[in-house]
Amino acid sequence: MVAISLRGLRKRFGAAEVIKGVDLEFAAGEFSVIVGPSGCGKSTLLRMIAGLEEVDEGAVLIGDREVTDADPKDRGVAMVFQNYALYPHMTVRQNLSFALEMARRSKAEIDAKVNAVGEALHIGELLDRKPSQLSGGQRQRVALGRAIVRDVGVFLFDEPLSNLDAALRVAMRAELVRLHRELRNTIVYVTHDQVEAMTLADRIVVLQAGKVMQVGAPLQLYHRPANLFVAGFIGSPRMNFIPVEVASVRPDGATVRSPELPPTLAPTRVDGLKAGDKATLGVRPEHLNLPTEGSTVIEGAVELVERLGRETGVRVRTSSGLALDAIIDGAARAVAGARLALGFRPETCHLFTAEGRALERRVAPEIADALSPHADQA
Amino acid sequence: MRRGLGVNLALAGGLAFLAVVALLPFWWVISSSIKATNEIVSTTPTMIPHSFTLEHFAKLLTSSDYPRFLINSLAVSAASMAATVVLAVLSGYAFFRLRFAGRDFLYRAILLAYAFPAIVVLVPLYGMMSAARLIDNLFALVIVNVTFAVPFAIWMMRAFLAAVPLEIEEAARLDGASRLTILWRIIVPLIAPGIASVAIFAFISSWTEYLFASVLIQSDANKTIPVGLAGIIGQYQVDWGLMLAGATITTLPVVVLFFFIGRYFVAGLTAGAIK
Repeated sequence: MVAISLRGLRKRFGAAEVIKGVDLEFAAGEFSVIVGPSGCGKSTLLRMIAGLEEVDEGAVLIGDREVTDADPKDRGVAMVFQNYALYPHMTVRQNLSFALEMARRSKAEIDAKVNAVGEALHIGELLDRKPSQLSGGQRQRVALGRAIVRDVGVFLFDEPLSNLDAALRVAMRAELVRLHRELRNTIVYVTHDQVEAMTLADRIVVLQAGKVMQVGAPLQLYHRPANLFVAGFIGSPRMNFIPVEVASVRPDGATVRSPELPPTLAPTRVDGLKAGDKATLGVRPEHLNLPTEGSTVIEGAVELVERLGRETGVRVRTSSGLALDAIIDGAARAVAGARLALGFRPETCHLFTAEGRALERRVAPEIADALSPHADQA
Repeated sequence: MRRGLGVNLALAGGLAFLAVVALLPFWWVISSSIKATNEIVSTTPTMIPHSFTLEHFAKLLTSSDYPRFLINSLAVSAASMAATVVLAVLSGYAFFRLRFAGRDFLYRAILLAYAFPAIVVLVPLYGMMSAARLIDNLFALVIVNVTFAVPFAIWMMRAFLAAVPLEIEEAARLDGASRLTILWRIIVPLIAPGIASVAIFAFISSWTEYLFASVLIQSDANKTIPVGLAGIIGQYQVDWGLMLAGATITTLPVVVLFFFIGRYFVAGLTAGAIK
């Protein structure tokens, strides 16, 4: 098991700086996911760890060794690419053997390793086929096998599931979790899919425009996002944001108001907040439902209804033009064009300053502090 | 879009006419090479031979210097082909994958080789070969052929290199392969069609080269086929049977080459046209 440290990393392509001073620590044996929108620099960061991109400033340490200027082959990392990057003219066996041949291992050792990996990944009967004769899922397994066979401490994954269909993606996610539990390698996994991040990661790094927005366990990011960007990125559907004004500030929270809302107490810390300040109230769609006693009510015209059976997704447009997404009960009546009242409990909302910084919630589920979604499976 | 019968007939007729125009000379040469001399020179041309003889081939191969010309041409063309392929692969990879100062400028500059007609550089090239004591040396022809073939070969090779995903090379780097190993074990097998295209192009260019061969080679023993066959044209008479037999045999290596790897040449001409 090997830890990774990134210290003050910067990377420029021409005049554009794409990685802007990133400091990160990946603990040994941890499954870390770097997530962010397209173009945020997550693949570039991964390639800098792998040695496929030069580092303009800063340092990369793998284990206790500085590898900033080391060749990719000398870093003790294996990488699984988005498009698998299998050698198309070689058989599966040859693909798996290639790295071991480069390392001058004996034929007997190579054969033993390749057969063992083939069996572990259920690709033993495919060893004599070429990549063009394999399905997407099989190719992904071969790509994984090519990494495993090298017996290194760090695996890097660059959106490996993005070319698979939805069902296969779910199956491969489970496979990756199983492998990580068995091998206990340090994994750095890049994806733009926050659902993948939430389900796979011990820790998530949210990246935007080359900067780290927040690092934490999946449920920490879900319940305690550090800023507007993380709040909007983590969680599907996206969190609803309501522009509000601070009416008053109390020790137990801030009362906010807007044309859509009655005065609502947001139970957060109120560091530096004062009456008259602009702010943003965040409410997740899954916390917006039909009104109950004690809930804050907000009303609008139904624009969109998506019935999924167990639940129904609705989009409501308020009189001031604000669009709100909600996940309500599957049996609830919602008709496009009709008016609908929605409610949320104040303790489920988030409050952000005018600069986008989250004010710490006083009330959040206990699970918000859990370190890993797999902690109960360890 | 469905075409009418009339349009189809017109198209078919036009294509048939062009096919006849293209193939007729070949048929004429091959069919005439087995005709008796009096039928060849007859004032009434015959499309289908009325006579049959192999005397022209026998005379060509036993009583003329043609076998020597053939060996010289094969040697020069094979060497030019090999050298062009090696240089084009190495240069093409360097231009496409490596970053170095002046790369883009140099890539455009090599095409300057085609800015001047060959005859313009003939005299200075003769001077250079003379200074290097390579006049009447087949190696001089190889140098000239490679010089004029490599720029276009690099251009052709680039299209095939562009089709190899960068991630495959990166995967090989992570697997511990050196640049040369990547080139030999990964890139070359994947650009084999491109290599075949370059090989055919270089072979044909060298095989049919006449201008420099006629100036740089002075002895009969070192002549190549184009120059040797031209020598059959005497001041007062032409041995047509001999020339036609020589022309027929001359086409054979190119036909054989095309038979085995010709499809790659067509692919090479159009590679990269559509992403």
